[in-house]
Amino acid sequence: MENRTLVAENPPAAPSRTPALALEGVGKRYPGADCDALRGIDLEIRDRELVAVVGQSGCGKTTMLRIIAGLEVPDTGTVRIGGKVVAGPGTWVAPEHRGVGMVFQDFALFPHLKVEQNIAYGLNHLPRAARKDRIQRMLELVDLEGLGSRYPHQLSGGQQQRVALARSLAPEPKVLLLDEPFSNLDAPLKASLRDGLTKVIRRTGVPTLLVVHDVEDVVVLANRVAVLREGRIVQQGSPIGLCQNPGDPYTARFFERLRTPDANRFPIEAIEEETGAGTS
Amino acid sequence: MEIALPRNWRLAVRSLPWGWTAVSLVLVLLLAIPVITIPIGALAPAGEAWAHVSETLLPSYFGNTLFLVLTSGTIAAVIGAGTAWLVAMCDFPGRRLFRWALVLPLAVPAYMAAYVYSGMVGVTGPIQRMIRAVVPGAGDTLFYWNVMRIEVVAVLFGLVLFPYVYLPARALLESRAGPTLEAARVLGRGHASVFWSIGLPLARPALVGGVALVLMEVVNDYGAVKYYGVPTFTTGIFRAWFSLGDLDSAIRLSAMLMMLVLTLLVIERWQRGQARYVTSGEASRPAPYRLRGAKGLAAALFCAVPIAFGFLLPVLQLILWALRTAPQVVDGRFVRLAANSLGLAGLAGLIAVTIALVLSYTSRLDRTDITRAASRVALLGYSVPGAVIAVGVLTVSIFLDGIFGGGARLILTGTVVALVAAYVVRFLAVAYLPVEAGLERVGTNLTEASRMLGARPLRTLLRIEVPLLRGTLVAAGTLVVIDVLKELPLTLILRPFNFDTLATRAFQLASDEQVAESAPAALLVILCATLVVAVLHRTLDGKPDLGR
Repeated sequence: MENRTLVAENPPAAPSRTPALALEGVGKRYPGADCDALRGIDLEIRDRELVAVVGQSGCGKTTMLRIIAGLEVPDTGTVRIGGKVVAGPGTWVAPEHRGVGMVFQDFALFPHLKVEQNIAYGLNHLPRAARKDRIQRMLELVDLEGLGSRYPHQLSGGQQQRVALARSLAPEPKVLLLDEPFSNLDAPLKASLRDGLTKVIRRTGVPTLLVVHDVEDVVVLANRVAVLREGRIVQQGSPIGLCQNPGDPYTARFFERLRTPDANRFPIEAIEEETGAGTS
Repeated sequence: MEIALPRNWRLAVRSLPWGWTAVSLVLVLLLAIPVITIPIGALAPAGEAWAHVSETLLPSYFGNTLFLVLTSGTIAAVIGAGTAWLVAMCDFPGRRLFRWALVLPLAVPAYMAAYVYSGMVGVTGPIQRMIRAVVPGAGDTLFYWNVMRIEVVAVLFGLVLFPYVYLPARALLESRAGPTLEAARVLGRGHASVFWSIGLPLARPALVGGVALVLMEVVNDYGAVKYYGVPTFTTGIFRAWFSLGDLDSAIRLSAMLMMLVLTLLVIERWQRGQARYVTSGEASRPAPYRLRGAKGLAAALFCAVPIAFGFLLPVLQLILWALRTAPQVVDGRFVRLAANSLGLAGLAGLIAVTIALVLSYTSRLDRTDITRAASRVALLGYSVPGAVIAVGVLTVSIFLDGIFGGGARLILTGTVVALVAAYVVRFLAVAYLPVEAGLERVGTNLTEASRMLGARPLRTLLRIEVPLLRGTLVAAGTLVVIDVLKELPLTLILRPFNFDTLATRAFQLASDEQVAESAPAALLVILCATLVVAVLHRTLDGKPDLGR
């Protein structure tokens, strides 16, 4: 079973409930490619869970997110969201009908729409008053009150990321996907943004799958890690578990930085303390 | 905006509802039918009239068309490549002005230049009369030089069409020739040697592509060759249809003309070989050759002459004529004429842009071979001469009217509907290419983000791509409007009875020896075209120029 000691706030999901997101034997090969982008992926995410996918670039992380989002069609396997099949043999649900939220790597904010219009974009089904109310709540959630009438280019990188997050959360998605949420941000900004992001996601409790590069992100953000290599999940478990018992050299190297304390890196105990304290 | 994904990772195959694909395929089919009708129609057994046409007229059609293609192509290539090299690689007095003004001849339709020159330098024109009056003995020995010759037409084509070569060649030299040419200079090569050994080979794909466009325009022309009495395939098509009422021969001639164009396109592909246009990359202008004194003057002259003959002189002459005739010509009827033309062109532009948007959006989201091939088929019309498309539309509309109209009621034939349809078939590519490039620029990730937020493809298109591409869409539509305003052969064949546009009115007045009376209409067309050519050239060109 996963180790949950890291995050006190998230209680383990009741095992009887259907997982928020389930992948079964998902495989994908791009036309013209000489090997599979993904092979036999099995993965489950339960309510309130935050799962990180790590792996070298080109190992299939982004493909996996795009298949869940409905932006790519898997060749094999089944994708279920809230127990309902959205992709599988003979079944296909278009991205606009899946109820999946996604924060893109470059945020993909609509440059011609104001912040509030960006957030309102997915709220077409709501009556006007409810929509206004939701926009306001979202702006508060990501600490951007008063910036609703700005355009994206008038915001800093960190603010843009928070708009992207608010926009994807506004329609209350069943699952949230984050594609390398910090790769477009400066390092000094990152730590505070990461805390903010964690706080927002935990507060909404939306089950989240995120692709990250940095081991610190994994340890701070995720309840569980899945290590992807050459299109397959080679190991998954709690960050601490994987750090202590890496299944292969890549995983070992990935977590290595945590075990060699130096001036710039947290020792793992400090992180444990910090996250434990920060989220309670 | 940078997308971190590899290029081939696109939206899913099925992420677009089948309805879009179906609508696109139907549109493509409708657009392709008039073009496909021609070769199919030519397969039918020939009538008796065809034997006459093929024996007595075909050799001269073929010979003249070939002569025009070769001569005008060469002239345009020399002027285009020369001016492009000078403007891109050298410094000489007036370079900045020439860089921009060399595009202007594009605004003058070849047939208008043709009759202006015939009026100016013809036997009864002011120049020959002056020579006869001034030069002693010229009047007595009857100095009458007949300008109504095929060689003059070829030169005229070269003078107004060379910007098709100049523009891509200059863009290529300016955008990517820099390092290579500087290397050649550092290695000690002289100016001429660098031009022949590096410049020309580098610019070859652009030159070949540009010359191909020139040749398309040459075989498309009806007005100039008709005015100068040079029988070509287009005049043959007109003769067969209007004088002899022989649709069968018109179809056969059209099919042959299409074969000719096809041959040109194949040669272009083969000549270009592996080389492709490279428009991306930083604009780095290499250290220019400084041309001073006599050399600088010669360079300025080389650029000034084509502008003078291809734009300034004809426009000046038209202005002089217009000043004289405008009081009589410009009346209520003229205003209606202008409104007719603009309305027609605007409608065609709107439809073309809408279809272009639907087709390029579909082929971008639904990346199957079918939709991609379909969008290429839809662009066929641009390489097919207007007269051929007119014959194709005519054939189809007569056929359809036979089925649905019944007897005297003609729904399509000789109506504005057929005319607009033909414009769209002919000029769709003009709208499609910029729209496609615009969508490419916007990228797929905003589309994906929109759909992840629950917006269907149509809503995404209307709320994301259309507002973001507003400028591009307007520009694309305007290009179509200008092309329609200038269009002559297709309009002459398909226009409803007693229906005139600025172009047909100007041409008809000129043909009736009322050249001066045709000037206001012609000027209006050229004025619109000039504005668009100038503005678009500035905006499309803005960025590289800032770097200087």
